Amino acid sequence: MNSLNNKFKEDSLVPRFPRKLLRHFCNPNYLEGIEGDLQERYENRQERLSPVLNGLIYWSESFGFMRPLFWRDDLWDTKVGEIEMLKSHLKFAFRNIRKNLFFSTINIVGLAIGIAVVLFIFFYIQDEMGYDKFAENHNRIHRVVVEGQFSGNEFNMANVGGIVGPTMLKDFPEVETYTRFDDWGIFFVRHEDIAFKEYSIISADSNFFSFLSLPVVQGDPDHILTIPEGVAISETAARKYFGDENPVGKVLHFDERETYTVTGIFKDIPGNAHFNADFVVSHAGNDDVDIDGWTNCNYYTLILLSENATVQSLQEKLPLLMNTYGWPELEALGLDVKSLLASGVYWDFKLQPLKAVHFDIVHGTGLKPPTDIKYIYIFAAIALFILMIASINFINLSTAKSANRAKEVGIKKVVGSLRKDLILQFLTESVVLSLIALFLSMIFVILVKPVFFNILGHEFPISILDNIGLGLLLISIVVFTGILAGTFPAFILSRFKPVAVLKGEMRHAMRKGWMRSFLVVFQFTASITMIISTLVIFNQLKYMQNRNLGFDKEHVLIIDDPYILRDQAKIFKSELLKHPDILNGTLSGYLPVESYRNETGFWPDGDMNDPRVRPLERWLIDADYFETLSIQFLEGRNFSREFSTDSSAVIINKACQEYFGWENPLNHSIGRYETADAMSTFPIIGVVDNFHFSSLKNTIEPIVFFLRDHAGHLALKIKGDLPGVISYTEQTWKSMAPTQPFSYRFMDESYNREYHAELSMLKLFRSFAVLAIFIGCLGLFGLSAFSAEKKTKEIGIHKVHGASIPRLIYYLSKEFTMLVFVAIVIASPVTWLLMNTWLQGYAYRIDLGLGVFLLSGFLALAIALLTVSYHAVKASLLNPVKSLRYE
Amino acid sequence: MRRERHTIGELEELVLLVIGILGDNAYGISVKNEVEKHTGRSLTISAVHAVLLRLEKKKLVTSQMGGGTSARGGRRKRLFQLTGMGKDAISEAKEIRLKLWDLMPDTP
Repeated sequence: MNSLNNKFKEDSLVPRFPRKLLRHFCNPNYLEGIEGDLQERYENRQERLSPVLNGLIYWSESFGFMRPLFWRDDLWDTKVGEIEMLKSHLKFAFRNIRKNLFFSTINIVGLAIGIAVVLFIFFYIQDEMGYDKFAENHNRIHRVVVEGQFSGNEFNMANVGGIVGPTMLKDFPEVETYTRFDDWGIFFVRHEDIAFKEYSIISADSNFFSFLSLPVVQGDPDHILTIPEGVAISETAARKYFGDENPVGKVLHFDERETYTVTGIFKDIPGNAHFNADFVVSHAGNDDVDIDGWTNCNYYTLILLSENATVQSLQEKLPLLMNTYGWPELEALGLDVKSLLASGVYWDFKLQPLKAVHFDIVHGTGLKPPTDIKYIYIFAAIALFILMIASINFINLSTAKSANRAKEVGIKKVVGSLRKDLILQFLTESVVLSLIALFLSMIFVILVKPVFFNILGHEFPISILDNIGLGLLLISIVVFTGILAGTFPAFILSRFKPVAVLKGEMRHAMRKGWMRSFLVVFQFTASITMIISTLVIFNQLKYMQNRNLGFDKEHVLIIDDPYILRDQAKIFKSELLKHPDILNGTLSGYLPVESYRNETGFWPDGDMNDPRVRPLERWLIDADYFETLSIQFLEGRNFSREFSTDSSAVIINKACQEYFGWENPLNHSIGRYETADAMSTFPIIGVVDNFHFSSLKNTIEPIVFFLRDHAGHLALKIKGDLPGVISYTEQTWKSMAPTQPFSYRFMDESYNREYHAELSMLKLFRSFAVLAIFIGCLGLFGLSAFSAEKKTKEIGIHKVHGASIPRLIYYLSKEFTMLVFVAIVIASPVTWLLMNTWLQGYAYRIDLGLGVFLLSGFLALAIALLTVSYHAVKASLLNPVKSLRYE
Repeated sequence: MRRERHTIGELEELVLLVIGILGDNAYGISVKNEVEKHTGRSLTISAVHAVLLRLEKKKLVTSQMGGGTSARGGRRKRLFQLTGMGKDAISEAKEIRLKLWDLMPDTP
């Protein structure tokens, strides 16, 4: 074949590779003619084509000859031979799987679960990392946030004053354009007789949709937000209120107080946006937006960085904003800016890339809750963990099982098997097993998808087509695992001399179980870590739910939005109090559970220059508030109708007193700018004990209570017959506001909902713990089966000598329980460290006591024993005679 | 080996005819060019060689190595000629076609 190489002069630079290939494959009889034709055509083309193009055509023509028709005869035979061999390997692979169906199933299922978990986590992470990427220029979009400090208290806000955006555009060439939007709150929206309470309402600048590349389905995209009192609605909202009609031009009522005209429909905001909006009200005609002050936090401001600008150069210029405009504005209001700055007050604007917005847990936002990026890392780690456990399991079991194949190998060798083929045989089996596992895992994913979304709380699309890369990666990982699993038995077994193998001598070598032991320890360490973590999270959750909060959340019925009744609200309350089961009620939007919040600056004793000024909670309540919620007074008295001056007095909580350091708070007052230039002072008439009104992650903040009419909610203390109370309440409502939807909830339910993030985490960890244990047990189950089988003879002998069943169980499980102990010892300190760090995030938390660790260890041990003893019992029940005969 | 009557495909028929036309100079490239010239269809060089190989296996043509040229780096050409069976095959095909044409009614 290679004679041709020497025969011909080195002709013009024909590509060498296709020629080499052809010479390797082609039947030598035809080769000369074919190669000659190819050469001739090449030379004929040389004149009119570039060498590159010519070469390419040569490649293509050569490859046309790569078909079995032209192949050398001996090649044909070996190729056919190889194909036949592979077919045989596959046949044996499946046959072996069938023969050991028990082990094979365990193996496959274990690996499949591991892969499925990894897939879920991957898709979750992919979804989280892809937030807001639908915006066309998302790489150049940044959000302006503010970080400031007033008298030792830091606060970070994700929204800034309305004036920031346009000023930045005017002064900084780095800003190409900007857009602002504001969370508008919750309103009753009504069109004719269709009314709903809507939670996703925002207002926005006219370029909002184009800035974020949000498609407009109906209406003119350029003008959809330019009409004053105009609102754009989502497709879902359009369907809800208008069915199939065209809503443009129609009117929507907000809280019966304002009307807006529909200007168009936009496609539903994607699920992976950092905000939700079914209604977008235009900023047009609203002059307040552009003059909204420098130290306000009302508008989420996104800017588009100019093409050649860098973030740093813009960031460096941001302090100019406060220096040129912000501080002077405050000075004009009468604040002593110099002394404030000297005491460490600052107000820094910062730029935040759009892709970081979804993960921002630092700056306060009223939009969708962000994701703590730590969780992404945790999940990635868990994914890796579980994949490792599953893969190791797989390798473990395959290796153990293959010890039985010694005889088969011996015979094959005697008959003349090539070592290469033996190795290939084992590898094929492993890879087939792992590929089946991969296939099974996909089925798992499809089946479990709804449960997964349920635990997470939201959905996202899972598609293979988008992730060809992932698919290939998975296949290669799986094949790699398969190869790894098959390698050990493949190489070891095929090495042995046939005679030794047949005699059963090599058994002892395979017995060496140190690797297996190590793997079992590793698996159980991971599982125990999961169990401990789950228990700790569970305990913390229970603690948070049951802790004395300083108010009584039990038996409190909350009616939402009685403000819609306007001046009838108080009558509504008194009507309800007539019911014997309704003990007390308070009209206030400010409840300890999810409801209204309002922060505003307060000066102690009305002293304008006191550095202790800071934003405090300002709650508007009525005189029945504290009694309804069973909040205790520490000093002074409650608001009372007897004192007409109480409307200009305040009550504070203990945290407020402590903050200002007052020993006799009743001798003090508190000041606030009720109008832009005049501070009003309010005497303090009472101090209430602290109660938790936000997550137990936070310390209790100061509150200043004012006696004001605020009908945000009506909270009723009730007893006894729940359904009766609810229906009475509903009837009363309907008689006073027939067209408004009646909405209620229970305070304890609301409270528990605050912790849904922890609850989700608990559910997830619980699932993972169960999975990890399951996979670990699967492995243990397989291994102990194998171990019991090997020891059959010994058990037989023990029985003959009169050993009892428990004794035999002890004998068989000794080996494994020791390993579980080791796992407990390793897992405990590691998990302690991890859980301690997590708990630090909670101002109010449990103590990490020994109990959890002991319980987990005990649990793991029990499960391990149970798993192992199944086989132990089975083995010990065997007839000793049969056992001894077992070969 | 028994004598088989092979049926020939359309391309095989064309190639056989062209080999007859080309006489002493029927090899891969010349056959390809000739077929393309007369039918307007384009073929790849490997397709032509495949047909030639099959025809040879069916014993409808024979081949021998012929003149090498410098354009081919000195490599010789494999020259093809019709065998008796080959000639029979194409004339039979021609007869069948003509017979069928005759049987067609004259209506336009």
